[in-house]
Amino acid sequence: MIRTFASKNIDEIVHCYSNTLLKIAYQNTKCYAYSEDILQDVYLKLIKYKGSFESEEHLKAWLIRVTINRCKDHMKSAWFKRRGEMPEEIYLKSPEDQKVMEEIFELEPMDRNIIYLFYYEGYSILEISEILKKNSNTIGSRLRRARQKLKYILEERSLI
Amino acid sequence: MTNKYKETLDKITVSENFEQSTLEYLKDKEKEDMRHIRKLVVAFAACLMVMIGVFAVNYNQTPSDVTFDLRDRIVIDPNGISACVAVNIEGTIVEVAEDGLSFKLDNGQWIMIDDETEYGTSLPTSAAIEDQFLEPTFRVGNSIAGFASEPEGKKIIAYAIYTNWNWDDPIR
Repeated sequence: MIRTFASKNIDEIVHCYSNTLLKIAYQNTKCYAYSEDILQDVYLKLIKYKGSFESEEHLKAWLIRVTINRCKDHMKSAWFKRRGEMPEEIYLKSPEDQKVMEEIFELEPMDRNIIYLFYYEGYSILEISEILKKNSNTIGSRLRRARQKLKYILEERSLI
Repeated sequence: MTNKYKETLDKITVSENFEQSTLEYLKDKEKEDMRHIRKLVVAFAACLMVMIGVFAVNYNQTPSDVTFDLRDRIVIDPNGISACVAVNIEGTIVEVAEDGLSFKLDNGQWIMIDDETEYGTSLPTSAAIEDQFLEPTFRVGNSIAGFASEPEGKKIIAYAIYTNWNWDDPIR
């Protein structure tokens, strides 16, 4: 029997959410290959998940949260610590995109996630606080600070 | 700012064969889990069979089959204190002194009787003195049981004599 999650089967979910989750994982790990591995782990966790999802939004928020947590686990793992942080991988071909990505990587991982969820995914501060399990005031102040920093960096280096 | 940000992030996409390889990976994992579950079920069934077997064997046994003989576990210390009086003089008289107040036991000990030596027992549960196994004199062949406060030495002064009796030819 094929199990569905918020009326979607696993094939549809992989097709629908992989790019979103990869963007999050890549921003957290700075490594494209690890990001794809993390995504596979997230989908594996999903098919083993015993709970149910009220809606597709609920499913998406769950996937985002699990991806971020999985990235944190990866960064905390003994293997990763032993190996040390790798230099940022050159995945984007255009030098301009590479520079933007370098600026994004200068933010703290949590700020990268907040910026992404707010500007790219269009979540509200309240929704982001739900997904990241943080106070909405914290999210608001971090978003303001991160946005200023990112804007300054991008403007300063004449990338926008 | 947001346009440039979005344009850059738009270029981060999964590899061409990611979807296919992920679905295969998930199927493999599911199969692996199923195999694991099957192994657990088989192991559980085997345990259940063994339990049923053990239960059936025990159930068919009558209570007499499972009685234990605990007598082997009883340990008797012949040198320990017995009954309600302490006895550390025991044996058969092999020689009696001329005065009749000391005698030699078959273990080689000489036992002396003085004015303070108690004769018989006077405990609440004891028999009357005339019914106890006590003869008026010490004779060769009499069985002796008594107590000495210092049981070591060449001659031992008896603190008490509880038994002085010839079982074959007693004298009251």
